[in-house]
Amino acid sequence: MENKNDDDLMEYVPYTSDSRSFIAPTKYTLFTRLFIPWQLIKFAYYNIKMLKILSKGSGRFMDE
Amino acid sequence: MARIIVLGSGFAGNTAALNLKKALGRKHEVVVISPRKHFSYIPSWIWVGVGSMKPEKTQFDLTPVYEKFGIEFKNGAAEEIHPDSVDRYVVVKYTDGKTEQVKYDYLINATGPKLNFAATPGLGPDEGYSDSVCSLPHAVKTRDNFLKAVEKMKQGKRQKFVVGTGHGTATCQGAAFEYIHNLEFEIAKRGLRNMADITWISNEPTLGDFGVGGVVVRRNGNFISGKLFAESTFREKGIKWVDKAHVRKVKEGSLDYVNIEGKEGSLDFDFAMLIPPFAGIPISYIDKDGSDIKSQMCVPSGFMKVDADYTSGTKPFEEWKNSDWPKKYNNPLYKNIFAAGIAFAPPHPISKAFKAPDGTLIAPSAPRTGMAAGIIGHTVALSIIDMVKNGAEEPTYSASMAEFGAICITSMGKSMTRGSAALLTMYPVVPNYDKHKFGRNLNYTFGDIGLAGHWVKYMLHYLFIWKMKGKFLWQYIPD
Repeated sequence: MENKNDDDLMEYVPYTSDSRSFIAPTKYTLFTRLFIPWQLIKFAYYNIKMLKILSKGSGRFMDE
Repeated sequence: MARIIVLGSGFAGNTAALNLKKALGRKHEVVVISPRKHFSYIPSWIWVGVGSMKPEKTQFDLTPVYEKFGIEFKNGAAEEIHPDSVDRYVVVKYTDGKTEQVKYDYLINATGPKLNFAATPGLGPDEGYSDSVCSLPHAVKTRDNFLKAVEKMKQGKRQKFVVGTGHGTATCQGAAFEYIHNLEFEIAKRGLRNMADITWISNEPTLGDFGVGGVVVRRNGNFISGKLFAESTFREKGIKWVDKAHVRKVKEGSLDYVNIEGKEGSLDFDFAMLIPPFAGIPISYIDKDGSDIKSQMCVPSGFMKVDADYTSGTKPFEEWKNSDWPKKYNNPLYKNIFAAGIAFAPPHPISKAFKAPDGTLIAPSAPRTGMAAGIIGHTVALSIIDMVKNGAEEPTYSASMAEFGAICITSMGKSMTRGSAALLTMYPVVPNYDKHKFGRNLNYTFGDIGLAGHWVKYMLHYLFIWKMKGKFLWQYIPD
């Protein structure tokens, strides 16, 4: 919320253990995470994903 | 006529009771025994703990629900179970001190956990120096302490926050992860982020382990580990972290820890929310001779033994198998006694267990979330229904955590337009490295962060409360 640009996202110190492998979201990623039209599509997609895993079943009759 | 007693009224107990009564009707009795007459939607307590949800929105009175279903409700705590008697019974103690013997034909232990704050000196809100969101009164107290810290920041006093696990064998890292992100969100929302130092401390071998051995997901043509995902969220929010850590002692304003390498350290704090380890609810098991047989019925931590392979717990991580995990959840000694939800004893952790050089165990315990508890409670109910109605001699339904999946929605801020949550699905819960390269089926294992995740979390809050109230079409809402 307070991040204004990509440089503010993290403190990057070269040649430290942290800098050897890291991942942090870009400004574009942060924008899409809150962009409502895109998130509405994601909401539908998430529900499909959840239904997919629920369709794999939970409790089953032992003979199945 | 059969009488089924359900101990506990949480996700597992309530799911079992409603399904049992719906299937068995008036011909058979379903009795729920619980010291709490409310159902609590525990996943939303992280919001109560930062003041973004009112406590009363997370619970409701079960009495009218059970009256509607014809379920007998006894508002007391189970103290003793007598499984050997001709008339098998549970001794219930009520709040006024009176006791009653309640007979049963089938018994489901769905009592949930005892919060074992005593495992770490100084841990917990009652006799220690840290807060917790593991019960509603604790979450309310945590909220009050958090808001006091916010007031201090408004007055220009910098505050140190520590959030995570309070013991090397604690579980529920996911809840602590949600809490730290919601805490950061609420501080940033008030424009006070530059006044707060926020640190994560956890017993996970790596960040993003969550007690389930970590998760690998497919993203943008790459396989991404949960470690990178968790680190990314911490870097984004400027949260520091300490992992692989066992908290040895919590003092007023600081805590001491040791990590897997034996490195000792301490963290100062003005506010600390630390999840305690869990133990089984203390219940005595008395045989026909009057002897306490708890050691035969339960593992040392007090959780009830079920059809798991408990010998596997002594084996190294590389020899753990999916078949170690229980399927039917009935006790090996008494086939008519089941344990569901957190009450059953897992055969071993899901994550690899480590020890510090001094022998301190640093091993996240296996989480048993609301979804897993609901699935297990439902499965046990189906088996008992088959035993009662059709005379089945053994439980006929199975639900192994090594075979079913889970949906975890990790809140990272509560707001319908600015909020966020990480949606994580995994299949199965317990990874199977013999079958899948990364332990799980990546077609069903998925992770993403965004506002839509928050909408899903919010939707599930109301959907599950609807289901647990047994309202219209409740039975079609998945566990």
